[in-house]
Amino acid sequence: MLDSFNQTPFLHGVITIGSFLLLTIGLIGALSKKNLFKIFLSLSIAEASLFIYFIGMHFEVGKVAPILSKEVDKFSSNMVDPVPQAMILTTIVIAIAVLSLALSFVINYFKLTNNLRIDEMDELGESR
Amino acid sequence: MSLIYFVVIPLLASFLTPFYKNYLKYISIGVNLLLLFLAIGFVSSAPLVENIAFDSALSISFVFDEASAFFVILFISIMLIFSIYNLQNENRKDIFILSNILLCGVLGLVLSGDIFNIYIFFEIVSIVAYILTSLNRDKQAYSGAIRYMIIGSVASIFLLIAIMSIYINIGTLNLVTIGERFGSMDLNIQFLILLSLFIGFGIKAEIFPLNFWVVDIYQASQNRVNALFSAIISKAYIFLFFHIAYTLKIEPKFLLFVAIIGAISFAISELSALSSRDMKRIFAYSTLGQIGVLFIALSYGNITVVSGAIFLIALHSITKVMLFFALDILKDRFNSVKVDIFGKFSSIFLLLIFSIGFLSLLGLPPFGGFIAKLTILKGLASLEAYMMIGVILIVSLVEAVYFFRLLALTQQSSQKELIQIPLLKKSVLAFLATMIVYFGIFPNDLLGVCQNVASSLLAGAGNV
Repeated sequence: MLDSFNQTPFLHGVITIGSFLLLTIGLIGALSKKNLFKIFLSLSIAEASLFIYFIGMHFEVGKVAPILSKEVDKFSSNMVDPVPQAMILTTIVIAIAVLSLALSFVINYFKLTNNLRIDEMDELGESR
Repeated sequence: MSLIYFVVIPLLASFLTPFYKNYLKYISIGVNLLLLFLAIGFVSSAPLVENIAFDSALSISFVFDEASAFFVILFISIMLIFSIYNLQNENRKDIFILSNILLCGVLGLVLSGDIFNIYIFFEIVSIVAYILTSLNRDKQAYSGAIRYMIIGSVASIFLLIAIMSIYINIGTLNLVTIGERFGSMDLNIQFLILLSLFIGFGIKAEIFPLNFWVVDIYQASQNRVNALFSAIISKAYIFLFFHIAYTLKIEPKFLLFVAIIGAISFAISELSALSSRDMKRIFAYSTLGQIGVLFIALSYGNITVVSGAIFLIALHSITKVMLFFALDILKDRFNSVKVDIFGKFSSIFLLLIFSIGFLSLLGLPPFGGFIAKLTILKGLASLEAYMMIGVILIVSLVEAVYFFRLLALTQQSSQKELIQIPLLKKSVLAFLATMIVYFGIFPNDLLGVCQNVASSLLAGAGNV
């Protein structure tokens, strides 16, 4: 009975539902939270859900990671598709860079205004 | 020679220049000139495809066809003008580093032949744009940068969703192959991908209803930077939006939807500009309005309309760069960007610059904007799209109201202050104004180029 849990379609289903939930959590957090740190945290959760989905959908039971080892010595069919992993690795690096830049902006903004709430950011707009 | 130089040279220049801090501006101009010569040299060999790495399905590919060549040359020329304008600006040297990375990003965006590289360059351009927004380092600048980052992160999430859906369903990232296989996909997935692409690129291309953030960002950043935002970044995303749309061969009903959205964007932006009292915001609204016209024209898929739109892209870039530079001079003098500074300055030269800019944006002869709008309207008339013609003409009247109101302000007999403009800035502004008048009187050369560009854009990425 436990074998049916270890099948590729089942795992793909779990990953799809889980990452969709995570994406929803992230987007709802970004829309409903007022604290700037929490907004950026929510956005990175939403981004992480996409990483999990993309890697997870290319995982198949019985295949190995596309890294040179005893089992994988050439470009063979018993390894998973390497392109998503390379893509996601690049994307994670970009996401970290963007997040750190965002946090540095938030810190600088807090130093200048002593404010972290997005609904109290009233510097911009039509001057009266 | 290789196409990768267009990305590598500006990137290398920006990373090496911190070591030569005092020569930064000269290096920048040198790099821009070098790239310009390189681009003009490549034009004769277009269309050109270059695959870097092993297998065409997975490799990095750069495509240099007539359309991307036009945008490459346009962006490099504007960056050259920007560097020359900033030559006397001693206090901020980091702007040259950022402008070089920005050039690397937009050239990569325009040249990339596969969608994941487009994502990478999308992020490079975004990060540079965030930093450029915060360049003033005051609370307005940081507030604008934070807003920009939030909306930019949402855009990149949706772009990633589109890229992943494409890879999972088609198994390729190459634009040409995606274009061939896109029609065979399930309709629901096609719709999901198109919607994600629309949100991802629509936010960056500043199209209604995804452009609510733009005006605040323009207000937060420096005028010189706004020139780059208006002339380079938004144009790069507009090109990408339609490049991908025509590559995927999407159905005309979706494109008609885009045209209607463009018309709404045009109307709302110009109406919002009427009530604004801040020059930066007025110019930002005007940019959004022109982008609405571009979306109307580019989505009709007719060669005359599209060539008019390409003409408008070139002219609008030149005009907005000129207007933002002129506003920068006023801002330096009065330390304000309220509309009442228009009643305070006394300078025939600046008055002439503003008049040429406004009249060209309105589309009045003998300026370049007239030819662009005339070509678009002629094309629309041949397609019998009379509703769109009506919208463009009526909303242009609204545009006329606020531009002529601004010009009327300059005739007020209040206390005037004489403005001294440095010779370098004066000659840059005069050159740009001459270009606008020249393309208004002798448009045929540029129109011929625009027709080639339009046919290349309409054929999509698979025409090579």
